[in-house]
Amino acid sequence: MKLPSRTEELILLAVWRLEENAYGITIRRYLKEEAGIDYSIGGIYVPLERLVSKGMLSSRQGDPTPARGGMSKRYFQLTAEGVAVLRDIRALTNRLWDNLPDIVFHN
Amino acid sequence: MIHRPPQILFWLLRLLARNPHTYPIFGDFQECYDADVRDHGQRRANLQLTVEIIRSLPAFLSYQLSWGIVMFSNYLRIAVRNLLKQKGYSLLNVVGLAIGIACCVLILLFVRHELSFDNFHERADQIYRLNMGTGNAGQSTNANSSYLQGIGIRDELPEVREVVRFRKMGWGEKRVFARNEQRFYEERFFFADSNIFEVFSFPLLKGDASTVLDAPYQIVISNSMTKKYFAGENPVGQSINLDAYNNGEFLPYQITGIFADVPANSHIQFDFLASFSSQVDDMERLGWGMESVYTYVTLNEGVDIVQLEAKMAEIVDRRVGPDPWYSLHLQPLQDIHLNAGLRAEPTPAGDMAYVYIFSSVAAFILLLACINFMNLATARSARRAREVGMRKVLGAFRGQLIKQFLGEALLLSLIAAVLAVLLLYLMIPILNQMLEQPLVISMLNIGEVALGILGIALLSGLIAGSYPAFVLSAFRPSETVKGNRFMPNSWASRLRRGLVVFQFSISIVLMICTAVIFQQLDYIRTKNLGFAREQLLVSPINDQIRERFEGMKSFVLSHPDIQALTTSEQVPARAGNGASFRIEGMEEPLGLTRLFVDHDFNSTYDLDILFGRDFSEAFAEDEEEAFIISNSLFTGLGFDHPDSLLGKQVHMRHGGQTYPGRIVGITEDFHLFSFRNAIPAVVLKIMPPAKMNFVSLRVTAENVGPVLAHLEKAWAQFAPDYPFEYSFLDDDFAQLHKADTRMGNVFRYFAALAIIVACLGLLGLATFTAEQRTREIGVRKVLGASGKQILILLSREFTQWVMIAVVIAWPLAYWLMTLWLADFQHRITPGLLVFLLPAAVALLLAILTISFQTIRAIFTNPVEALRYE
Repeated sequence: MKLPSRTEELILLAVWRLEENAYGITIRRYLKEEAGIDYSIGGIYVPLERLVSKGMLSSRQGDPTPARGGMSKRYFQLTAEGVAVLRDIRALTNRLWDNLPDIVFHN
Repeated sequence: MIHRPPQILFWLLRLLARNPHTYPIFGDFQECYDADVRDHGQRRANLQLTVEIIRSLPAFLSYQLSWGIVMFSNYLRIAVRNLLKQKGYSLLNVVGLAIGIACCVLILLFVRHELSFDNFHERADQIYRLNMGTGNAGQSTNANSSYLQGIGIRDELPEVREVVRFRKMGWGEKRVFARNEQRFYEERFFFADSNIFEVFSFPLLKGDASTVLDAPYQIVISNSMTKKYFAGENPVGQSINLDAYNNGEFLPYQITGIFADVPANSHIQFDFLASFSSQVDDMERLGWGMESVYTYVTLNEGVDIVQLEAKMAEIVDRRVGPDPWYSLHLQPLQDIHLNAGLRAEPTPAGDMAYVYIFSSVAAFILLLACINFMNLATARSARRAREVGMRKVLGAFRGQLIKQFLGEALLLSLIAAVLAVLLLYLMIPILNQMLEQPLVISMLNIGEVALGILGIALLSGLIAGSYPAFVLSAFRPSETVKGNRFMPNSWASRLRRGLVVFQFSISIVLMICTAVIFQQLDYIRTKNLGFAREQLLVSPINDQIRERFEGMKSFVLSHPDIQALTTSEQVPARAGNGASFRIEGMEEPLGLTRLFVDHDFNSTYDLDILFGRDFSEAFAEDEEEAFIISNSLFTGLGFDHPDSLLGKQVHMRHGGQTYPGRIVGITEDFHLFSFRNAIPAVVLKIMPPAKMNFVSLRVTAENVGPVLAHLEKAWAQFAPDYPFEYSFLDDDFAQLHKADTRMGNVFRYFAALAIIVACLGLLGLATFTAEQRTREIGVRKVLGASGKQILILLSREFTQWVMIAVVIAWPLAYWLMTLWLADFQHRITPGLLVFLLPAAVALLLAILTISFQTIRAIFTNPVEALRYE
């Protein structure tokens, strides 16, 4: 299984969380507020684009709005594969966390 | 109401997010800015935006790059597919372009060589040559100068720093160098001032530049002479024997240094330099008189040449008295090679005219190849119309399409560049042989050559690609996608026709020029010179021969295949010397060409005596006072009958002496010089062997081997110190026209290449036409048209074009060749044939080229033709 990077995982989760309203600005704001990861306005598209080309995200064009100077938004959505990857990661993480022995610190 | 970012930031964003794909990002910026203004005010928002733009730069960059690569690979894929789909056309284009590029690079090499003369000297821009002016126009006429002029002006003018003199012994004569048993004639020998290696940058391999020529009887020799005489051993400290004055007196010269062989782009060439102080004849006596040396001076920086020449004129006035026929001039070292026309140049000068002619011809051939490309690309644009339409519908800008098509042209020209390199390696030896110039691609200039090829390839790609790029990108998508076949509009086809006509005009002009040049060369080779030039063998003589001349003569003539022998001061095709000649009853003396000969000259050279008689042993006084003049002198003097001239008293002045005598005969005119010069008026006089420099022999045998062996034997017996050297007079005459022969050869190759390129283009166009009219041909055949009719139908148009080209080419070629021939005093009148034949050849080649394609169209089964498309 090809694992996405941690940031990519967070982005996938952000897109999931934001549902219908996942586009550049909202994703960027969510990452900053929740995880403290500060992407530039242009920079956020680099990992987004990469996830699209990996097939975990898809994108569609919204309608142009006046607030954006007549430019449309590009909305992102999880693909089935994206969802499956997230589930795999969670399962893996859970499995690794389960029944960990107690830690004894030797000072 | 939304808040827009300030102009400058907005503009910057537009620039960065220009790609349609990045429009959403642009929107994101706008939205954030708008929100920031509302929340924090304008100033804060501006700052925020600027920071964001800067932070986003890497992302924008990676966007541009990745999209660039995507588009580029798409263009490349389409370009390669197109090339492969139309293999024939691609091949035509590539071969044509490769020929053009190779020609251009070759000529660039040649031009670079010509322009590089003497620029390897570190102080090249300070060195000037002192030239003499012996005309009253106050301009340089002679490359050489007098013995003391240079020293004189240096002593009086502080602007002149150093003086270097080169003295050549005799003109075109050779000197014998001897070491042990080896004896050779060497021509590249000078006496030179001791500071030569300090002023000029001829690198010394051994020896100290400031002292090598300080003392008498010191000599420095070139690296290749070291190999020749010393088998590569270190010769420094050893000696070599030299008969510098050609009088049989060999003196040992001590070798003090070796210099690297003089580069081919030096206007002065030598293998031996002996110290100036080794000279034993009293040259200072000649002082400011006779030209005898080449003088080079170095000047202080920033000296005004015009002012300096004025000062030199004052010195001349004071030293030799006012004389309109005597002036001194300075010529910059680097100007020497390409400013032909001075007398007594040490090496044949180059000619700027050749540089221009060759460059323009090469440029034309490249242009012809580019035209092919343009023609084929536009002609075939129909095939690309749909692609263009589709790209436009999908949002391609015109600029992108232009880039795409230019890129395709560049790809093609780069492939052609690779092929050109191969061609270049094939062509360089041919060109070197033709130009007798060592143009080489070596490690030294490989980078430059590569850069040249690449540069020319890119340039021709741009030229060739620009037209199709702009035409194709202008298609209207609605029409092309609907499937309307794009019909080349009348403007484009007219242009195409014009370009083909242009190509053929150039090719025909080149062919006519070649024909005329070769006809003139043939005329030079075969014209009656006044004497029979075949089987005349010429050899320089020396004091040993002069002393025992009669003995040598009877020994040589004992060979049955040697018919006659004569000795003379000069021979035809070498220099001609002047003398002043006064005829009884005439006021002014005449300046004539003198020829000192012996009794047998006219019979050996087979010169006809028109009036009077030849020199004869029967008249004892002939040796002292008989003169024979040439016919043009007689006709030029206004005597109505030769008898009134025969027997006239005459005085000839030469070398400070007056020779009185009588005219005893008049010979037919004969050539002494190149055909560029008029036949000179010649006066012949008998002189003793001491004055003579050459013997000429009339040989009868077809096989000259035994004759030469006999002559070697004669030399071994009578002049043991001198090797035997000879040339044939017809070769000597051919040598005079070497530059013309060279030009003829270059033109021959260029004309061939031009017609090949033009035919390649025609082949492509014919193929295209035949293909476009496939269905028409099919229908015609079904309706009963014969193969001949179809052939005529298809070739008529092209034939018309070539005919138009012929009509344009004729006057142009006539004008060019009249210009060239005007340089010759003796020339042909180009006949009708030289104009008709090239035209016929071009037409024939064009028809052959076309039929190659049309015949295929004719033999196609009409059913297939009708199914086509």
